[in-house]
Amino acid sequence: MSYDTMHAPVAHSEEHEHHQQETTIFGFWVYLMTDCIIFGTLFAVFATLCHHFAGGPTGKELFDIKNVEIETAILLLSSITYGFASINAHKKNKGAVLVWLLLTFILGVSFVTLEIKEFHELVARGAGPDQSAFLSSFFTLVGTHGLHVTIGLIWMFVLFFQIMGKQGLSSRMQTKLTCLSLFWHFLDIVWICVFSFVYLGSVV
Amino acid sequence: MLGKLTLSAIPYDVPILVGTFIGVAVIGIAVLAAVTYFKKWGYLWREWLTTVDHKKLAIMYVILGLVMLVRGFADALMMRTQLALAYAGNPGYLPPHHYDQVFSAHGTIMIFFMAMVMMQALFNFVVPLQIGARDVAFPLINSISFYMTLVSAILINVSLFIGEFSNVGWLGYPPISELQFNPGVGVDYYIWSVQISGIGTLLTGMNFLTTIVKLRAPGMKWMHIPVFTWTAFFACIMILTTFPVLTVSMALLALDRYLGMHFFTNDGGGSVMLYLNLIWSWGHPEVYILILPAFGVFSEIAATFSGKPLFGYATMVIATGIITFLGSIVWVHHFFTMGSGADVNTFFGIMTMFIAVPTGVKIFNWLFTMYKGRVRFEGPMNWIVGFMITFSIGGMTGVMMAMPAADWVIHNSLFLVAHFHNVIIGGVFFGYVAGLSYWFPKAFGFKMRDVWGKWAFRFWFVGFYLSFMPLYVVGLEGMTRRMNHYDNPNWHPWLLVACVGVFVLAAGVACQVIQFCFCSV
Amino acid sequence: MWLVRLSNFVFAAFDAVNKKPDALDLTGDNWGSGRTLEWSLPSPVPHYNFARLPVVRGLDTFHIEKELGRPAPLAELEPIHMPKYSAIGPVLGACALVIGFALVWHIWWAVVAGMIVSFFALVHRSANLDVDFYVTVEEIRADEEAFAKRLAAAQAAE
Repeated sequence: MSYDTMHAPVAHSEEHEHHQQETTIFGFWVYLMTDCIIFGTLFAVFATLCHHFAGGPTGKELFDIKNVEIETAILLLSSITYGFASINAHKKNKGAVLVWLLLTFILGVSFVTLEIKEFHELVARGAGPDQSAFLSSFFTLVGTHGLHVTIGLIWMFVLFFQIMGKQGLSSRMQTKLTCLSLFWHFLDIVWICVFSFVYLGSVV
Repeated sequence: MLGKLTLSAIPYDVPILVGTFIGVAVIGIAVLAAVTYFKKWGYLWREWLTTVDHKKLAIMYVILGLVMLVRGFADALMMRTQLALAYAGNPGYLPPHHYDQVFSAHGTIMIFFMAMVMMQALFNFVVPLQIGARDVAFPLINSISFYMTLVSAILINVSLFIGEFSNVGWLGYPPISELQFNPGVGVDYYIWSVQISGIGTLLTGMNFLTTIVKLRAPGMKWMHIPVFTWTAFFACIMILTTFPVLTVSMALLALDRYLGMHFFTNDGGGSVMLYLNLIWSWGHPEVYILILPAFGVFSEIAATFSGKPLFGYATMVIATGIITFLGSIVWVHHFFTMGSGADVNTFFGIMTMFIAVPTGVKIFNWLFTMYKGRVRFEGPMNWIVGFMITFSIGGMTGVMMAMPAADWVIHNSLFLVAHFHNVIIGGVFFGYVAGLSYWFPKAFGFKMRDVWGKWAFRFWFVGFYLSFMPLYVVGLEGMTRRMNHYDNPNWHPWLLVACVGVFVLAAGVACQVIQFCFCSV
Repeated sequence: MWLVRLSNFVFAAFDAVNKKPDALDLTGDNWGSGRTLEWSLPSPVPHYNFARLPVVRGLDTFHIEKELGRPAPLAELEPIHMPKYSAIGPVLGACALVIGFALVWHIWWAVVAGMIVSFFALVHRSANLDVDFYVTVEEIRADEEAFAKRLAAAQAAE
C-alpha cells in the first residue's frame, strides 16, 4: 500500500524537504543550547573550585601560555577553513568542499594532539586530575571540550567519505554540513571562553 | 575479563531477592514462551520494537511505567511494613544495609522510571495529535529516547540480582556516595542508569520542543495551542535547561569514583555543597517538569467533563510560564540548613512562596471551569477532584517549609516525606492516571471499564491519607526520614496506621493492574 | 452501605474479567465533548494521524468545528510522507545497556565494544538513504470511508 520515495512527486517532495531541513537545523540549535548549559555548568564548577589547590600546584605554575596560544590560533583558523567549506557547499563545488574539509580536519587533529601533549606533560609533572579539586575541574572542563572536538572530527571524517561517495552534496548532506558547521563554530566560542577564563584567568 | 564481576556478586543468600528473582524469571519465561508459541516475534519486531510511530512508542512507555510502578510500589510496601515492625528492640525483617537500598531504589524508580516515563508517554501520544502533526519532528530520535529510558530501567533492576543498588538515597549525596565510604557497585548502578535515562529525557525534550515550535498545523497560532501542549512545551524548556546539569553532576560524581578526582570528596579540596547546588538546580525544576504536564491533563479534563471552555486560558498559559521561571530559582530551599546564610535563604524562601501564586491561579481556573458547568463524574474526573483537595494540602505544607525558620525544625523529617508524596501522588500521579484513562479510548478504540478505575481512585484517595497524614505527625514529633528502626513509643501507632494505608494503596494498584490487563482485552 | 459496595466490587471483578468491552468508540469523540484536535480523528488513530492537515481557526478547533460545521475539504488527498521503521533504536539501546553494565563492573573491553557497535550503527544509518515512504492516496481514502461509515452507524444508533 505504499511506495518508495525514489518515485515521489518531485515538486511536492522538494518543498517537504526544505521544511524538514529547517526543522532539523532548529532541532540542532536546541541541542547546542543544552550543550551550552553543560559547558556553563562546568565553567561554574571551575569557578567554584579554581582556588582549591589542596597544597598542590596552581595554574600560574603549570600553564604554558605559549602552547595554549598556538592551540587557540589553530582552532580559530579551523573555523575559518570550515567557513570556506560551507561557502563551497552552497556553490555545490564538491572538490573545494573536500579540500577545505581536509584542511579543517588536519587543523582539528593538530589541536587535539597539542591538547593531549599538554595533558600528558601535566600528568608527568605530577599534576594529574586526582591531585586537587582545581586540577579535577580544569581537566574535566578542558577535556570535555577536547572530547567534543574529537567527536566533531569523527563526524567530519564520516561526512568526508560520504561526500566522496554517492550522496555527494545532496540537500540532506547540506543539512548535515550546516549542523556540523554550527557545532564547530560553537566549540570555537567555547574555546575562547576556556582560553580567557581558565588559562588567562589563572595566569594573571 | 569480567572486571569486578564475580559469582559472589549474586545475592543467593538473601531470601527476599531469591524469591523475587524466581518470580521475575517465571513471569519472564512465561511471556517469552507465549510470544514464541503464538509465533509473534516477527510481529513484535516489525510492528512494535522497531517502530518510530509516536503512538506506539507512547503505549510502550505506558507499559514500562506501569511495570515500574509495581516495582517501586513493592519497595514502598517493604519500607512501611519494616517500620511497623521495627520498634523497641525488634530489628524488623530488613537489615539496615538492605533497607537503605530499598528506599534509594524506591525514590529513583518512582521519579525516573515511573513518573518521567508516564510523562513521556503522554507527551508522545497527545502532543502531535493536539497540534495537528503527523509525527514528532525526529521520529527516529524519539525511538532512541524510548530505548535509552528502557535500558536504564533494565539496568537499575539488574542491580537487584547482580551486585547491589545504591544505599545513599535517590540523589546520591556525597561524601557518602564517594568511593571512600561506598566501595561497592551500588552507587555506580545508580550513576549509570540515571545518566542513560537522562540522555533519553534530554532527547525527548529536544524533540518535542522542536515539534511544538515547527510542526503545528496551518493556522495554529501560539495562543491556539491546547493547554496540555503548552504545559509540555514549558516542561521541555525545563528539561533542556536542567537535564544537562544532571548529566554534569552525575559525570563529576563518576569521575570522582572512577578516576580519583576531587570534586565532592572530603579531601583534596572537594566541595560537597557544590554537588548539592548542582543536583538540586536540576532536582527542583524536575518536580515542576513532572507536575506541569499533570496540570495540562487536568485542564483538558476539566473542560471536557464540564462541557465548558477552560476558564482563563490565557492566565493558565501565563501561570505555567511563571512557574517555569520561578521553579528554576528556588532550589536552595532543599538545603536551607546547610549554611548558605540568612540572606540567600531569604531570597529562596520568598521565591518559593511566590510559586504558590500562579499555582493558586490554576486551581481557581479549574474550579471556575467546573462552576456552573454540566460536570460528569466519569473516571478521569474523579482523579481531578481528588487532586484539587490533596494537592492544595500538599502545596500548603510546602509553603510552610518554604520559611527557612520553620524548615530548620522539620528539615529531613518525615514531615518533608509526607509533603512531597502529597504533591507527587496527589498531583503528578493522579494527573497521569487521569490522563491515561482520558486518552485510552483514543489509543485503543474502546473505553476501559470504569468500575475498576473508580475503585482504584477510591483506594488511592483513602490510602493516600491513611499512609501520609500519620507521617506529618511523626515528622513534627521529630522522626527523621530513612530510619530503619526506632524506640519512641509515641510514633508506633502512627506508623501502624501508615502501614495499613499502604495496603489500601496496594489495593488501588491492584485495581489498576486489573483495569489495564483485563478490561482492555 | 460499605458492605454493599464491597460486594459490588467483588461482583464487578468477575463481571469485568468475563465480559468483552462494550464501549467501542465509533465516533472518535469518545467523551462526547472533546474540544481539541485529537478527538476529530478516528480511534484508534491511523498511523499517519491526519489524512488532511487540519486548518486551525482558533482555540479548541474541534469544538469550533462541531459548532460551526467542518469546512469542506479543499485540498485533494495527497500521498503522505512518513518515516520507515528502524532497528537503530533497539540496537543503540542494547549497546547502551552493555556499556552501562560494563561501566558498573569495570569491564572495559565491553565498554569499548559497545561504543564501536553504536558508532557503526550510526554511520550505517547516516549512509542509508532509504528511510521514508509515501502512504498512498488509496489507503488514506479507504481509511476515510471506513471512518465515515462508522460515524454514520454511530449517528443511526443515536
